[in-house]
Amino acid sequence: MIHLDGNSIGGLLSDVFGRDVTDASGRCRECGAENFVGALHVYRAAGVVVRCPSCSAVLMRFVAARDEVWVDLGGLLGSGLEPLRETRVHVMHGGEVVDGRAEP
Amino acid sequence: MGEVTETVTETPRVRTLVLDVPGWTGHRAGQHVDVRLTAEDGYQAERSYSLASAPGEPPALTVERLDDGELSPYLVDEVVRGDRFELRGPIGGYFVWDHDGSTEPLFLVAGGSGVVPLMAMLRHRRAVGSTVPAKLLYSSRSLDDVIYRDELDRLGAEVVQTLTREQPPGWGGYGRRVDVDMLREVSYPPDESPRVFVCGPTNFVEAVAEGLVALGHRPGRIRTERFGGT
Ligand SMILES: Cc1cc2nc3c(=O)[nH]c(=O)nc-3n(C[C@H](O)[C@H](O)[C@H](O)COP(=O)(O)OP(=O)(O)OC[C@H]3O[C@@H](n4cnc5c(N)ncnc54)[C@H](O)[C@@H]3O)c2cc1C
Ligand SMILES: [Zn+2]
Repeated sequence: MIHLDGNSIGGLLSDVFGRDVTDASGRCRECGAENFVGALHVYRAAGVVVRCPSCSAVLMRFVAARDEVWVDLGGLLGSGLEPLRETRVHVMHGGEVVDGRAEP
Repeated sequence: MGEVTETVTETPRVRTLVLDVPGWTGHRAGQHVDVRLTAEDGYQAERSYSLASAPGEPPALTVERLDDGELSPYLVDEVVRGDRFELRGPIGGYFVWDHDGSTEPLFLVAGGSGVVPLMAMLRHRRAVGSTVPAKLLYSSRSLDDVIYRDELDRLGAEVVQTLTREQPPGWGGYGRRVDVDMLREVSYPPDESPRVFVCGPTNFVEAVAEGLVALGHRPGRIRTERFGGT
């Protein structure tokens, strides 16, 4: 499956983080590689899966539906990337929603 | 919402839409917008399009028609002046080049419509009178497919072209796909620390980025924007 660059989801990311994060860096929990978010690998299917360019581990997952978005940042290590605390942004961890709303 | 104020036919398959976007606060060279079209039945489709114009100029998109595509045939063939559509942006802070006083040479590699964000960088460089050395290696299928053909000579940058399918008689450029030998001949050597931007169809970007790394360019100096497709 072909992929795009993290840069291509800059719009979705600013919905989630409230600012442009494509030139912020993210560290992979699997292999420790640090890359610009704009350089991560993006796979689009039903949702958006963002993988580490070095080891292909899943770093972030997004599912957008209606005007809401479900976010799992579990593959990133202490990135300093904080999703907005808004009702349309649902933070997931290990498949569980941690802010109380169900996955679509 | 953006309103189309002008359309420019660039090639038989490519058109530029100049937009008026109320509240537009300007953009950086290399950024894109997300265009969202809504059908009468409520069905929505969203695609990204790079900004072609220099920062300070009105936003302009340059779109290539993919015959089996959902959005691009509409944007290339059907939109007329005065039409409006939803867009958001400018987006992105990674695949951008700012005129910031750095003197590192700029090496740009484009495949097809991948030239669009790189053109914004070259227009920006020209508009601010930057003296940073700049080179564009631009791959198209045939001379008729070359986007911004007349402007390429007036950019004040070195432009090297390759035509992969069909070359006119007396063609002075390359006549094959971008490969490592071509990159070696055209690119600034790694020890000049060029800033490198590569944009185009996914496979093109991948081949070029791998070639540059094989030539000793540091992966961290190579910024890529994959447009999708193959
Ligand atoms: C950050 C970013 C910036 C972009 N900027 C531009 C731009 O400035 N100008 C521009 O024309 N396009 C640009 N694109 C591509 C654009 O977003 C669309 O993918 C493209 O217009 C096709 O949309 P469509 O709805 O017509 O085709 P779709 O219905 O999405 O696809 C139709 C078919 O074409 C294939 N395909 C999809 N995208 C491409 C592609 N880029 N090349 C070849 N085949 C493809 C698909 O796999 C499918 O088989 C950009 C993409 C990204 C991610
Ligand atoms: Zn990794």
